[in-house]
Amino acid sequence: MLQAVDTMQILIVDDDVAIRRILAAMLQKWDFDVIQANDGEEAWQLLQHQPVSFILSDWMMPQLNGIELCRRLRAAGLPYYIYFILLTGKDQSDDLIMALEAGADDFLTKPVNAKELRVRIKAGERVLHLEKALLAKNQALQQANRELAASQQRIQRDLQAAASIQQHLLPGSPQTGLPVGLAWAFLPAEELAGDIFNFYPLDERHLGFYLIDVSGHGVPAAMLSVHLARILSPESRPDSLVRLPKNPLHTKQHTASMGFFNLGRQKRTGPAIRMESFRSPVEVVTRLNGNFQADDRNMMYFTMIYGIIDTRSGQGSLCQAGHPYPLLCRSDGSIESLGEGGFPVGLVAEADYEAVDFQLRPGDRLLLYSDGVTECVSPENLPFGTDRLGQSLCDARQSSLQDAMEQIKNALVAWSPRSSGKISFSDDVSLLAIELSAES
Amino acid sequence: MDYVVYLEPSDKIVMARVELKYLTADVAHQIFAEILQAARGTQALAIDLATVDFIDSTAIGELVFLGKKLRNGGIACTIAGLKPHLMGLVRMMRLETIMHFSEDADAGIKGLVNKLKIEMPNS
Repeated sequence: MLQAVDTMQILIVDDDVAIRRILAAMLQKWDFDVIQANDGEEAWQLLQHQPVSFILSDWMMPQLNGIELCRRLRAAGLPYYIYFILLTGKDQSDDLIMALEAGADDFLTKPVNAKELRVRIKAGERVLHLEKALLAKNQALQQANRELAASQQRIQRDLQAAASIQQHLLPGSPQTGLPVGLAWAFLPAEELAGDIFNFYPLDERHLGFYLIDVSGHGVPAAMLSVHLARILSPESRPDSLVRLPKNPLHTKQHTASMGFFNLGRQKRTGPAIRMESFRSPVEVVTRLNGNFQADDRNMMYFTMIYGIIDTRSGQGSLCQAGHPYPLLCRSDGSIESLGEGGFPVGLVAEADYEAVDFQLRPGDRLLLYSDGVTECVSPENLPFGTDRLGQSLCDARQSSLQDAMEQIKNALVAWSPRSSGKISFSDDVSLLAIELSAES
Repeated sequence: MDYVVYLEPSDKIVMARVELKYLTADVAHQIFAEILQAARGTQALAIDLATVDFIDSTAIGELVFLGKKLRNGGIACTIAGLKPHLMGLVRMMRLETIMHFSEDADAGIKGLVNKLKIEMPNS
């Protein structure tokens, strides 16, 4: 280790004992701690077990001369700096150049002038001072870097765990027990996503489904999306928005008067659909809007589609809350866009929402998607767009629903730019497709 | 992200021209705070967003909140010059029912002048 500067140790290397004694006397008079070596080889051996940060060395010596000692020290890559002054009778500029190129810091011609030696040692001390301070700063920086790296690893682990939890909230299987085909694709822009979607049977014939896009990205958006997935789950829980609480007051007449789920506008000819156990899409979205209002500190809101399909009749109803218009690809290849817009949830407290009714026939495909799909831009900055999405949906109608989603996903991947060879989406990409089975 | 807000204040109307392509979460809060500050004490504000190509969801939220603050402060506001695809987004979110949008800055200013029955700025 480096010696304290006020008792700095200096190694004198010279094969001339008389010169060593003169130099040692001078240095000790200046309060330096002196050690001596007879030649370069002896100095090298001594340095192996006694680190010294200052050397005064003669040039011409037997075995290992001063220049070679200096070269060997510099090549050794020691963890501390050694200030090296070469003493010599040589005084040609070529000699000076050779000494400096060998790694010497300074060059003194013999006979050594005491005053000159003193100031040169002072200059060396200043360099060693700076080196020591730099070393301390480097060590502090390295420690800070280690702590940052450890912290980064912890955050990364937490993010991966959170992403895994979020993935588990996405659909696990397309099987619902209802005569309906389901397929989806999900490409988050970061570890954690603001998009979330799901579907579930509400009873023996009704399918509930939603796709949500929370504003912003990262942890806050993901936390809200996870919370929304919980309160939109179909389990009968007190905080479920989807199910009606089990209450004898909720008779069919009561729910009708509350504006609950009412498929279609024309007079129904078939048997009445029992809907006492779940809320209409409009009521679900309206209640969400009542529960979540963004404020100045928390600019968080979300767009969503929530819908219900009667899988026997194919009648469906959905509520569009600021979310991109769902696309309906008919079995003949025509494309329809559903809805006329609606307020996002959380931006306008007094928002009114509307039901969008639709009719699915076997072979028709309903596609919900986040704006990350249509706003996915090419390297030329062209958005993928709704028209291209509709065309992709239509082009894939002969494929299975799952293959159709894969084809659209692949089209998006091909469309998007790459950053360092990796596909880069600036926003989460979510697709959820629903198809009525032929036997329904 | 670089942006420029040109403010042309008069005692009745402030015209704010925002020059940037991507109005996103990084800058929206700062931009709208500057505009709100400039609009205090006046009767009307026109925000020209003609150069904007993309607005992200957070910036839309910020815009809606700016509209609420202006309404609460009794300041009439119009958003001018939004490109057609951004007006499509506005309609999808029904924002045209709670905020006023104009085809361009001139139309926006004229609309405010007529609405408030005040003199044209610099006239």
